[in-house]
Amino acid sequence: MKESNNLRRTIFLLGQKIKDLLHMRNTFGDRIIIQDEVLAWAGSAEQVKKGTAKLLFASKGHIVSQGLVELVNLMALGALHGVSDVPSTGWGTGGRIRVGTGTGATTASMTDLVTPNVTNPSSVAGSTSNPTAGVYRISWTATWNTGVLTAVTVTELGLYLVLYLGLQTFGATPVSGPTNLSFFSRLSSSDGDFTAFLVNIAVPLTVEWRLTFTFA
Amino acid sequence: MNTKLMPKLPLFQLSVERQNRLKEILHDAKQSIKDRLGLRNTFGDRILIKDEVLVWQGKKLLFKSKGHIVSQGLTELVNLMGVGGTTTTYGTPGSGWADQSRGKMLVGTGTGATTAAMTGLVTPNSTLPTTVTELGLFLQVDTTTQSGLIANPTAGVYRVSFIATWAAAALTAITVTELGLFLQVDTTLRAFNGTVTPANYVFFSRLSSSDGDFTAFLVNIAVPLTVEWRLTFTFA
Repeated sequence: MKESNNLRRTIFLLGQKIKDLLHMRNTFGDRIIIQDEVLAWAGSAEQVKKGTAKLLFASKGHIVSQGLVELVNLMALGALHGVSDVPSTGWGTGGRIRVGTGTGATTASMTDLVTPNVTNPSSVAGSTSNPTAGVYRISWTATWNTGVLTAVTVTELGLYLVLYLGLQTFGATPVSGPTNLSFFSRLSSSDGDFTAFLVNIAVPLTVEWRLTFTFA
Repeated sequence: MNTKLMPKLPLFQLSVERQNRLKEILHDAKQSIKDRLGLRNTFGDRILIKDEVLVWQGKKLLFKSKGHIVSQGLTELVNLMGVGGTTTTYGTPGSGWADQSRGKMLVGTGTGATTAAMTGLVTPNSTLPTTVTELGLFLQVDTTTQSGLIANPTAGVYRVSFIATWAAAALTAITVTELGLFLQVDTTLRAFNGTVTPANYVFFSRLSSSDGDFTAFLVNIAVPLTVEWRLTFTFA
C-alpha cells in the first residue's frame, strides 16, 4: 500500500504539473513568494519620504535559516510565550539594522554579520503596506545621522529581529521567549549584492529593508 | 496653469526622485542579469511557501494536489512579521487546531474557481472532522481527530501540516468538489508595530475541482476520510 501511495503521489503531481503548463488549472494562490529587498540612501528618512535623498543602491538580501524557521514557527505555534513575542516587537531595541565591514558569501547557517559595526542607528521606523492588489510589504527603516558612523567602507548589512531560534513543536507554547537582535537577513558585497561603499560622513545614511509578500 | 511659463528641464536633467526611480530600475535590471549569469549568490533572496493537500480514503491515497491561499491568508503572514504584539498569546494560526477550538477543515459541494477575495467555501458541508467519544477509565472522553506537525524533511525545507479525519460514515455519501482550511487569523492588514486581533475559523485556503485541482469524488462512507494540508517553506 505504501509503495502504491508513493507512486500515486508522483503521478498526481506530474499530472498537475502538465495541467499547470497547459493552463488547465487555476494556479492562483498555490504558492506565496516572500522577497527580501534592501534600499540604501544618502539622506535622512524625511528626505527619503520627500524624494530628495539620493538612492545609493537597491538590491536583494539573503534570509538565513533562522529567519525561515521563524516563519514556520509563527504559522504553527499554539501560543506565543508572551503577547509581544513577534519579530517586529520593540523595533529599534529588540531589532535593528547594522552595517558591517566583513567579507565572505552569505550561507544559510549564518547567525551574525562577519564584522558588525556596533554603532546603532540614530532613528528607526517601519510600515506595512498594500502597494497593489495581492502585494503586501513590510519595511524596516534605520537612519544613521550625519557623522554618527565613521568613514568605514561598508561591505555588509544585516537585519536583526526578535526570533524564536529553534524549530518549535506544532501547537505548543514555547517554554521561553524569543531572542532579541537575532540575525534574520544579510546583504553583502561578497554576494555581488552591491559595490562596497565608503560612508559619506557629511550626510545621513538610511537603509530600508523590505519583505514583499505576493502570490506567485 | 500656463505650462508655457513653467521652467523646462533638459531631458538629461532629472529630478532626484526620478533619478532614484531610474536608478532603482537599473539596479534591479543589473541584478537580474547577474543572477542569470550566476554572478551573484541568490541564496535566500526569496522564500517560497507552497500550499499542498493530500487526501486519503482509509489507507489509500485518493489524490495529492496544490491548494489556493486566499488574500486573508496572505495578510496573516504579513501581520505576523510586522506587528508588535497580539491581543492574546493564543494569536497564532496553529492555535486551537488540535482541539478544534479555533481551526478546522471542511469539505464542500460548491463550484466555481477560487479567487483572492474568497472568505469561505461556496457550499460548505457543516460536518466537522469527527469528535470521537471514547470510554475512558471512568468518564467518556471526547477526542477530536485533528492534529498537526512541524517537520524539516531535508536541509532548508520546513513543513507545517494540518491534519483532519472524518471517521467512517461521519460524512454522508456526498460528492466533494471543494475543501477548505480555516485557521485563527486576523483578516485586516495591521499597522507596523500594531496589534493583531485574531478571529477563529477564518478561511485560509481552498482546493476545488473547478480549479482543476482534483476530480470531484464521492465520499466512501465505509472508510475514514483524512486530509493533510501542508504549508512547505523553502528558499526559492
